[in-house]
Amino acid sequence: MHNERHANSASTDERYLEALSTLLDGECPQSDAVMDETAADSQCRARWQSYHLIRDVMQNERHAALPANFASLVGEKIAAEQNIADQSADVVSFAGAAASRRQSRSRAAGHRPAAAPRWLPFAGLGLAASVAAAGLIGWQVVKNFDGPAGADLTVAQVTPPVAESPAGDASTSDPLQQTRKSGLVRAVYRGDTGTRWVAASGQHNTQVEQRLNSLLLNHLEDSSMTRVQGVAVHSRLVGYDTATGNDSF
Amino acid sequence: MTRYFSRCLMTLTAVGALLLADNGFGKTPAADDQAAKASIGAEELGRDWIEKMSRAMQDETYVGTFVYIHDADVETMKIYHSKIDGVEHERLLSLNGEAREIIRDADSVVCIWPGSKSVIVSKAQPRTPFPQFDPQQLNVLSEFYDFRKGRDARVAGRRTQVIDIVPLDNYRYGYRLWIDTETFLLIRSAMSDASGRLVEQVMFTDITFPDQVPLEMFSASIGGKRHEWMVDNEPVAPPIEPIIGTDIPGVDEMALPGGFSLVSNQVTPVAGTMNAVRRLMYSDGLASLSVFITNASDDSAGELNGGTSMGAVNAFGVRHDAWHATVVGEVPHATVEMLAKSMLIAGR
Repeated sequence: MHNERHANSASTDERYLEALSTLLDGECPQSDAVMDETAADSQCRARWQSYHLIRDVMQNERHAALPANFASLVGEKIAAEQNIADQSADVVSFAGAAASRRQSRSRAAGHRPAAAPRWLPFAGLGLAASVAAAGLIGWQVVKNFDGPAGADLTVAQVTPPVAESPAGDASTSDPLQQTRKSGLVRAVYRGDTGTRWVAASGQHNTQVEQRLNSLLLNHLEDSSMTRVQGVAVHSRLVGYDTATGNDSF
Repeated sequence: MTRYFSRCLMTLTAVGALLLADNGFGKTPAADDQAAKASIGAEELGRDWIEKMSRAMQDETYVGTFVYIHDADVETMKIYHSKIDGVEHERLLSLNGEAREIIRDADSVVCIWPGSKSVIVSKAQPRTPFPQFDPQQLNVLSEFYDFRKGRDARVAGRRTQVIDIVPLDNYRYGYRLWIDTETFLLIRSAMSDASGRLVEQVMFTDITFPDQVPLEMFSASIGGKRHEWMVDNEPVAPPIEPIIGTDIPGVDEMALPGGFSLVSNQVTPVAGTMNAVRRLMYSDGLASLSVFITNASDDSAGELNGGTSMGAVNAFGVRHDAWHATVVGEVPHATVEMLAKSMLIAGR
């Protein structure tokens, strides 16, 4: 499924991304073509997923669903690590260009340009630009922020930075290729999940437990109507710790 | 979506005949307990106590500390809860070990695990007042549970009414509830399996009812830390279907304990996987379980094969040809295993 998209041309990719960001900006009605393309390709699905996350983050900020200083936290993260900032610039550059083209087209068609996002670090770039940048940060955090890199966190499957690409690789000059390589890459944890699933086999499998945590979160939300369980509902998710001395002694 | 609903032919297996031999909540009560208890109508309980309790848990403003006992472990947790401008806000913070926390409002659920520096942002589901009983549903519920009104008891310095909900088969847990007689909040609860073993207890040790809780109290305490953020559970532009991942089938046939019925059916992404997942949620009005179906070929590394548990939560995963199903719920192990193994995926 991954190869389907690799076979496509850069212009097709750009068209898709622009259509997707336009759709999420609310500037056009839902497009069957975009939906079909999203459904057919795993990279498109990942991008769609990331864009929705950031859209939610942007929207939820108004409702204080996330930390009140979320925007400034993200800004600090950008400033804290040059590597990420550099990669963000690539993505913002691309997304900003797409937004610019979209606004030009909108003006030509007599449409009112979309309002600028309420997200200060990227004010004026349009929602899609913010989405792309935040998506990069959200999905490619690979090192321990508080200590030495990787001190207590091991991460697999992270694409090498663009600067490490082989010389002569024409794709390195293409923001789209850079985005594909450096942005929106999902990190996979190999560390402790912090929960205590007890398998019948007695074996712990971090990936299985991580998936189960996600499923459990969904289940707890879906079953929220069964409030006979009161405060226990979400306690089940955070009430398990491997480091509280509860182990047998 | 209609297609899947129409294809969901549930085999409602008659499993209600398996009576509990020894339930912890008075199936074989001591004489004095029995004298103190009076079997009361499910209708009365459902409306006068459980429904009020459910509403209070959503509407009241409270800040409290409670202990959460599961398996052989004890955790202490703090909860902040308030309704601000009509929006329910809740923050749950673990006071032991890593400061794991969950912040929830009408839009999202943010789960933070500082130990693994991960954050999951999930879309919140609407809180429906429980239970939306009509007389017919009440009658159905009473076929599978015995509701009993117990004694008054004092918990966390407050007077409570004890309510026992005893399952009439082995496919669901029993509940003992201590409901505050003044506010109708659930001050203490316990769940018991068929053998009478307590699988989970929650008890407030301290609770206050301030006029309001500042919005700032519902912010996370992770400032400055770097976490991996994962999206979860974002519905994908309904009513377009199929959704991302496309064509995740439903269930054609499955052994389902009596009283359980399909409550929700949707396809969404789930954090930790790149793929869409079909989520089917079933409830009997008290207990609930979810069936998650995904394409088995997409990401097999995280698949659960067999059973696992965490306190009152049991899960069982099984592969059915090209599809993988995981059943998760606050029901006994036998229930999730029965569902998982008996399932026939649509279109197989």
